[in-house]
Amino acid sequence: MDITAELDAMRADVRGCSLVAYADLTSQLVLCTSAAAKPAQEEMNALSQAAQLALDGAYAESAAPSWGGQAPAEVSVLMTGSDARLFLRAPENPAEALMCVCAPDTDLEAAVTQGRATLQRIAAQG
Amino acid sequence: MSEFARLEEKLAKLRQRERAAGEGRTLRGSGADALLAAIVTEIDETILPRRLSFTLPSGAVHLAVANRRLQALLGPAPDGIPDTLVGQKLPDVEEPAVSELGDALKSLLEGAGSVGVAATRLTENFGSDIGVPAEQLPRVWSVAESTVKSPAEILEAFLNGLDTTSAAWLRIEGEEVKGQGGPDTVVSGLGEHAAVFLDGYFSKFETAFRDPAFACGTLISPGDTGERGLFFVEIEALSAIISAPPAELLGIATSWQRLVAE
Repeated sequence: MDITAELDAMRADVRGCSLVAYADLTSQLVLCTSAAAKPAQEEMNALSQAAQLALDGAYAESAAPSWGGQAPAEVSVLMTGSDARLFLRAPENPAEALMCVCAPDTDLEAAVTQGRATLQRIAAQG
Repeated sequence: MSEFARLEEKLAKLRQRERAAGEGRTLRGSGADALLAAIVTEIDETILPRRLSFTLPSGAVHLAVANRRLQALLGPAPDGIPDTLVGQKLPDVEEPAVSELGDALKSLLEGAGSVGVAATRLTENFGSDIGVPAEQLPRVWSVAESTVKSPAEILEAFLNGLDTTSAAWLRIEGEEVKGQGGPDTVVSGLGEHAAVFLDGYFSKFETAFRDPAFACGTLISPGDTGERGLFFVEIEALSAIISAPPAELLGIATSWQRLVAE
């Protein structure tokens, strides 16, 4: 399966997930997207900025002392009453991450489990 | 001096650059009745004379409210509201215009989904004894009294549900730490880390949360490699920061979402 198919599969497997994307955190560039409806470029820019903030930027840096600061942030979720945006760092390519937009009642533990498995399969494709 | 003096000092500085006072909020409800009940709750929570402005898809509705009483509908009013209602004093619940206003509001709220609300100082003076007490509005407007929990009740329910054998939390109200729970050593460290985290959180809030929200939650975790991660929640002017093992954080975040999801 190519990356797009992996993202499509994850979106289908996680209940309430409307968008899954793979992005480069450093450049904040979205590399691949699977979405129920084509998102606006502005929306994707905002999502990748939030991912960078939460996994590498000010949010990650300011949270890191609470766990000793050695390890980078791996998982982040930004939640409101209307959605949950999940960001998951790729273990094999730490500058890249999975971004998911989910319904507020999405099972986050299941989404993270699916996300990690998706990232492993993407990494295995080289 | 408070055990959390450093955190409180930091909060005092950070709050200065937080969202401006009087900035709008959003009321949400499924259906016109629920939204009208939410408007009644807003009236019930307004003691000082205020112009409550509710933004609907069809336009803004402005109400004069004081002492938990609805005093008048103010202009300008959107189409669908009879001109005769605009500016008319509502002396008490027997005034026929009260019922008429309720019907008009219900009609405007059909299909709205959410309503923006903002409060500003009231320039008109209707007299302190003028107005329909909020507690009488549900009957005359035929809506159930709001069963929506207050932000304080939501936060309390959330914190009470945490397993404090492993999770530690600080409850923050304004600039003060108003409560704490969990292992003492973790709580102590959390006080130090919270000041650092909140500095980063507020400095980039608009990047993380572009749209105004009734409640926000932010989870940052090192994954399985770290001992602890952070979860910070905000609901209106209340907030709490939680430190917990990464394996528990997602469950904690899910429990928060169940309480605040629309």
